[in-house]
Amino acid sequence: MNVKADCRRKLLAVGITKTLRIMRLTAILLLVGSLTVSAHGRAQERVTLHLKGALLKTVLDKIQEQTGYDYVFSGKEIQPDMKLNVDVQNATIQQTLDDCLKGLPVTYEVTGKIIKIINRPLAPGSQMPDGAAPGPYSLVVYVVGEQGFRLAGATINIAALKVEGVTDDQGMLEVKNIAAGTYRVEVSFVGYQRAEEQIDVKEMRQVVTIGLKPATTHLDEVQVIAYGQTTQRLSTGDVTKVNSGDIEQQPVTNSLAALEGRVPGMFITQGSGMPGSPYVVQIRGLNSLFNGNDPFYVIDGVPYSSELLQSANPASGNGGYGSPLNFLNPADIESISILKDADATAIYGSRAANGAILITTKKGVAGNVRLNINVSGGVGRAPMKMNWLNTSQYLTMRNEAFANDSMQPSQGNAPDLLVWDTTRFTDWRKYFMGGTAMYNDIQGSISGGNTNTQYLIGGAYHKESTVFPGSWYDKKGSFHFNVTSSSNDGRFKSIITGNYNLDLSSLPTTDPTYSLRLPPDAPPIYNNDGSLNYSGYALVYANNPATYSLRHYSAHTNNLIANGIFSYTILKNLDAKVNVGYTDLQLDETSTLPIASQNPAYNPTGSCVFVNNNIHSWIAEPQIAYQVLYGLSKVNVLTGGTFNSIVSKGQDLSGYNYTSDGLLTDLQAAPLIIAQSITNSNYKYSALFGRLNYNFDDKYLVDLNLRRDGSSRFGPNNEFHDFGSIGAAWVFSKAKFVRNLLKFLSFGKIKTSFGTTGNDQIGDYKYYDLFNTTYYPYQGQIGLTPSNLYNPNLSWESTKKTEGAMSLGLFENRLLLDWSYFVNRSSNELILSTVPGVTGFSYVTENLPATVQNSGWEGVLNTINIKSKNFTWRSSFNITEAKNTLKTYPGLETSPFVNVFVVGQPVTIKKVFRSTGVDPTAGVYSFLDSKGAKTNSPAYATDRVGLVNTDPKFYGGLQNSFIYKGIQLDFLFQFIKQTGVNPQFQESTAPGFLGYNTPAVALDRWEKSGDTKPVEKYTQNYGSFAWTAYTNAQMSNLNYTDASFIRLKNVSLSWELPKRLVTRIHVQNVKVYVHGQNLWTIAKYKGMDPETQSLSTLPPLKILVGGIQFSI
Amino acid sequence: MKKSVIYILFGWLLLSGGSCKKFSEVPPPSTSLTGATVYSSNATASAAINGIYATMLTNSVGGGTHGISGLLGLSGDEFDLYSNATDMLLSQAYVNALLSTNAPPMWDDLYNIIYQANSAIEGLTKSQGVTAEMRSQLVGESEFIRAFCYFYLVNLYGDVPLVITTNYQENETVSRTPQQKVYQQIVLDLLDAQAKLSANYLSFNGSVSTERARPNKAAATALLARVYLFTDSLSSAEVEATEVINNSAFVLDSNLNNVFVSTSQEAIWQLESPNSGGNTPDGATFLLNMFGGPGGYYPYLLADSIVFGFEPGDLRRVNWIDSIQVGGTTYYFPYKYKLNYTGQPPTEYPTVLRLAEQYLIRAEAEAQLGDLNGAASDLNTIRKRAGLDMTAATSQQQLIEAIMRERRYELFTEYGHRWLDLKRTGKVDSVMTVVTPAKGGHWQTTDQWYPIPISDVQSDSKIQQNQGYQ
Repeated sequence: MNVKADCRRKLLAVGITKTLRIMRLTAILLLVGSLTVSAHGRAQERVTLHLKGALLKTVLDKIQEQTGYDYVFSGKEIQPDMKLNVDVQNATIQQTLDDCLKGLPVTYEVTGKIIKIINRPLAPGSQMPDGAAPGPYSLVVYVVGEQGFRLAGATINIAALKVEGVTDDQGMLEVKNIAAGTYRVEVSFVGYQRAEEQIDVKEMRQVVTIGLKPATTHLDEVQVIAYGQTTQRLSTGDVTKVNSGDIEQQPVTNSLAALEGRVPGMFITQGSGMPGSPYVVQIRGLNSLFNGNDPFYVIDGVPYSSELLQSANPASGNGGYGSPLNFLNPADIESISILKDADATAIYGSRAANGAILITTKKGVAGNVRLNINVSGGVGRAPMKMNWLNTSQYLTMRNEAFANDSMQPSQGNAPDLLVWDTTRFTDWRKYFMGGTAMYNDIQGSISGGNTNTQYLIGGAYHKESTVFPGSWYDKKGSFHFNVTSSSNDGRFKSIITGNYNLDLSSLPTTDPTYSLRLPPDAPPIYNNDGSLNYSGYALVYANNPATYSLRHYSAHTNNLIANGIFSYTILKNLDAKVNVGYTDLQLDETSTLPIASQNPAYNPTGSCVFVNNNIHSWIAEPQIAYQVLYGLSKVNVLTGGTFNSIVSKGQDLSGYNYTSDGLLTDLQAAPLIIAQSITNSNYKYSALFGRLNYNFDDKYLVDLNLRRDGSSRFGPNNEFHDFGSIGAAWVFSKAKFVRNLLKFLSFGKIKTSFGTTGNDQIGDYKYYDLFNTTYYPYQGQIGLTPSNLYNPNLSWESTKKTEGAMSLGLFENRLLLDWSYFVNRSSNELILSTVPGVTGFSYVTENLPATVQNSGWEGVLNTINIKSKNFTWRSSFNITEAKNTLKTYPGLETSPFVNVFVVGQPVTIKKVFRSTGVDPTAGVYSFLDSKGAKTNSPAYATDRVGLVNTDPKFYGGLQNSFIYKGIQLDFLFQFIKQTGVNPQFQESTAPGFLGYNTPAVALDRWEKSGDTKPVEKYTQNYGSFAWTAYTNAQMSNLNYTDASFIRLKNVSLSWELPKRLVTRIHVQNVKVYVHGQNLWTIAKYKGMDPETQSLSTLPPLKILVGGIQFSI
Repeated sequence: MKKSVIYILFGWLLLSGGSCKKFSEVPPPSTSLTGATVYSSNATASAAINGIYATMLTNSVGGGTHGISGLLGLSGDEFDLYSNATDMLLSQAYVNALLSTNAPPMWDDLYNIIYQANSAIEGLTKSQGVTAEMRSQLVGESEFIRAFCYFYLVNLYGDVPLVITTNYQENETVSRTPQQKVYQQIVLDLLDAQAKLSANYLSFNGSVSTERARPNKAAATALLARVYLFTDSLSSAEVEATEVINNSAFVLDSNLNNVFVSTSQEAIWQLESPNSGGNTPDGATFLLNMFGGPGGYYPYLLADSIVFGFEPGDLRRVNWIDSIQVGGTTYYFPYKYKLNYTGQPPTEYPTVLRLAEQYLIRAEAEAQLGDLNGAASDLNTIRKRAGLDMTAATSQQQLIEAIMRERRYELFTEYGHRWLDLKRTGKVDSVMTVVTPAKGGHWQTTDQWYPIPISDVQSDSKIQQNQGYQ
């Protein structure tokens, strides 16, 4: 007697409406073309029967017809009119009866030529619980969800009957042949709270409906994972989910901004406070030394490019790129899942070494038509934390610098002292970034539908201006729709989703923040007649600092993301599905340099940069999923294939020598056109994947993932590769001894995973021996020269991920703790490795066994601190501590990166001079050489023995949420412990030089012998010791400082008007709210912002937005 | 039923698996070509050879601050270095104290061109789309180029790795090949080039060109004459040189100012300067009058031994040397190329091979073989053009010395002739032990070979560094 057999027997008591559709199956099988079935048995007693929903009596009559066997019913409770299915071809009587009586409460005996139908005996040794003796009653349970639609696949557990089953397509499960009485029925379904109800079975066919509420504990919320979904309770992988609720509370236009501080293991840095700013996203550290470290983005199953090809976007900084996620409306996002470990990412194969971010957009919900409108408006201001010298401090500095250098100010070297009006003072912070950015946003959607079809149509408009003087803006319009439908029998389902986003940006071509360093006594920007004051500035600068106001960057972006998921239930538990998607991102930019914006003294001509780039991709992913229930075991098998193509085209053209500003944006009118770069690349990817998921009683969980993929980026010798992972979890809180011993423990799980993933962000065509055109023609014809060596072995970078994790739920899961430890090792790094010049080249792009390790731990604590009828207080805390180490780098000494990397240190390590600070006697920074002796002139090659680690030491966030009746207050603190760039040394010139104001930290300087100060003496002379010392200090440990901070990232206060008030005005609900972003930052950091760590880019703005949301 | 599910899954895998491999193969980008496609048509194959010349023009073969003419002249006794020179390599070359950590660029430059030539020879040999005539010409040009590069490599470095394929996995572990074997390959390449190359000068598309910008049969013959001379195959050198001299396409122009122009009748092979407003890289480097005198970046000064070594009345002294006075000091500079940036289409081309050298090659071969009259006659052809009297040398020894002296004053600051002559005639030690100390250095006989870049010695353990640089 084993457990399995027992379970099986009990399962047989469950009457499941069979829906075998053999004809269709046969068709499928013929299509596949690989089926041969043969049956064995004695020829004279063959039965061929294809009946559906036939009466038992009818079936037995047919058997009698074909074989001559008679039948009797033994026992009065046997109902000859019970319905059954039979589907046999040339089968024996035994086979036929086994097949058709399977799952029915009766069985048979064959004696001679008589078939005897008898009651199915109970398993020997099993105890029938009280009141659960077999009886004529049956219980029909319907499981319904939030809007009243039925839930197929919900698990029903009736402990007293030892019954566990799954609801069918109609959300129904029928339990037959039970006695009257009261049963405790447990229902669970992914994404819903478990429900338990006492059901009285009084009628012969007792029908009950059990409603499930959407999950509120994190444990049972739906988590979107690769090709499926799960819950935190049952997942074997490491997945963090951020919900629309958290995203909507943040007045951001890029959903990545909403993730800052919320996801353990994910470090996000905002590039700038300008609209369209890029975000650097790292999941569990830097894996690749030279290639892409972006996570793999997937929107509704469609891979999404992580970066724009090229862009003139001023927010991107020098030569950077914008963020494509800027072109997806955050309000359209239902949830974002961040996949980290091998178990969660290995099924993405060579693309997900850096983790994956799955974005799911909103879907329609069945029910009445619902119109939802959300209108908001607000303001944004730049933080004014950092002070610059005022006029008197500036003049003192300049004069002191001349004195220190033993030089006299003259009109030539000190027009700021001798020509300019030294009584003037302008706070350039206020001038250049003291404005108020205005935010206007309106979102509207209509949704509704019935059980078969649900839809959602939404549109949005967003406009924001900037804090800079001038009428700059970024406008977005977006459209989102979703239609979900299923056939009447629920077998065919389709989900069609589309997102379209249109963005218009009008911004200055450069970030005006750079001009904050103007001397405070600089002359007025404009002449009295309103023209730019060139002559006043000409003494110091080539140009007027406000010329940016005439240089116009304009960008026009269209982004389309469309996908469809079509699934068909071939057999019960066997689903075929295909996911097709298309994305098209088109960016057109112009960036002008008008004649009017240049000093007329130089007879300038105008120029304009024209960038357009287009990335379009399509994907098709056919899949087959199969579920086997076997007692308490659930096995899910998924196999599928991926075909993906991404075509990137771009061109960067410059028009020069315009003689009229009026024609600047017309490329045809340019006297000289130069193509700066033309991109045309095609990426193709195909794969097969499979997943096997085993679940025993929600207690033991095993997950196997496999993927074989091929990518056009790899050389012919290494085009295909296999990736895989194994994950396992044990829900130990289900173990009896744990339940008995640790009563406070409501949930406990330990899990581990191991596997490999790859990184293919190595650029297209790297392995080819490409020939590029020569700069000069020869004999009037362009030449072709090889640009690199052919490397047919080029392949992906691979990352081995190992993780161990534990989840604990205490006090009925009011306290949920997750803790994970991970070690990721990336190797096969793609490196420019040195080859001897005799090969014709100095370097070749090769996979080298260099290894980078990222390890660390992450902790998340979710608590429900108070939960009463009217008041709820929840908290969520997450923290990550991680370490990056370059483990090995063969040939580092001879590589061009010998000064960049240090084995045993993080890959971002900075090699610096060691400074002893300002020498009290000399008044300049002094240093130590490699042997520790004091020196004023450290040698770049040998004395940079100090190491500075700028990786974050730990980071995380704390969110609190208070709900009192309809009032909800949320606030999120983000914290980071890190070392960053010291603003004191960010200026290209030392304090005292002509034309540059300096951060006020420079006031604390050395003045006379014996002073012990952090800032050296002022200088204004490139020949002085102080200047040399300053440039050395920039390469020393002094250039780094504590850039840790705690930021009140988000505050959200909302009030949902009481129902009795809103029903009077015939609306369903009304909510008014105030959202704030980046409102308060605590940091020792002396610069403008510890996140952007720059004195030349606009820091993230403080934003406050108020709005009203209502639905009808 | 379970069985059928397995069959479905299995069949499905088969179906989708088959189409996988084909799908992920993509064509190369339209913005560049690959080795497989470049040699598939006349136009692109010709462009690839064009790319070789374009590469030469922009690296040390074309000339310039670190060019062959400048650096080899500095190592020998043709150039002095301006005292405020800022360029480390030039300073080291000048005092014959080169370092493997800051090695001259010729090693990498020449091997890069060799790679391109190898790639062209491999690609064209396999090619289907290139016409036979064009293929023959382009293979010939590639072989000529490869021979030219190896000639300079063996003369600058001694034994060098002989690389004649493009496979870097093989080439990154090669060792040095004895000079003699390298010369054998050079001769093989040149003989084949002679057979394959057109007698005419051709243009990009194979039509006859008035410019001498692509090597033809005569160019291969001229280089072969030089190679035979260097390897003491004197009668062969005489034969090859005679073939060039007898070729009516080449004329010693009586006007010395027409020797280095783009229409030169004396040129056997020139690199065509790009139409970018400039002329020759050497002109842009040596012409001090363009910069108002020497400077940190223009530190090449013509050595007094050249300036004051001419016989009286030598027209070359007047036409090929100029000077500029700065602060009371006169600085002399080569004036063979007379133009720097003009903003106009170029009228001067870097002249790599020219007829005068062929006369001197034949004279030297004849003298060595005992044909003293022939030698004197060829020598006098050159002297006559320079406005000088007949040579006074009569004995074999005197004639050889006179020829070597003539080579010095005819070919000064051109493609390192003087430096190579010193070495091949064994005079390098006796000359440099005097010259180097005068330049402020210390001569060792190992200084006659250049150091191999340290990166090559480190990344290929089989390549032994030259003596004196370990």
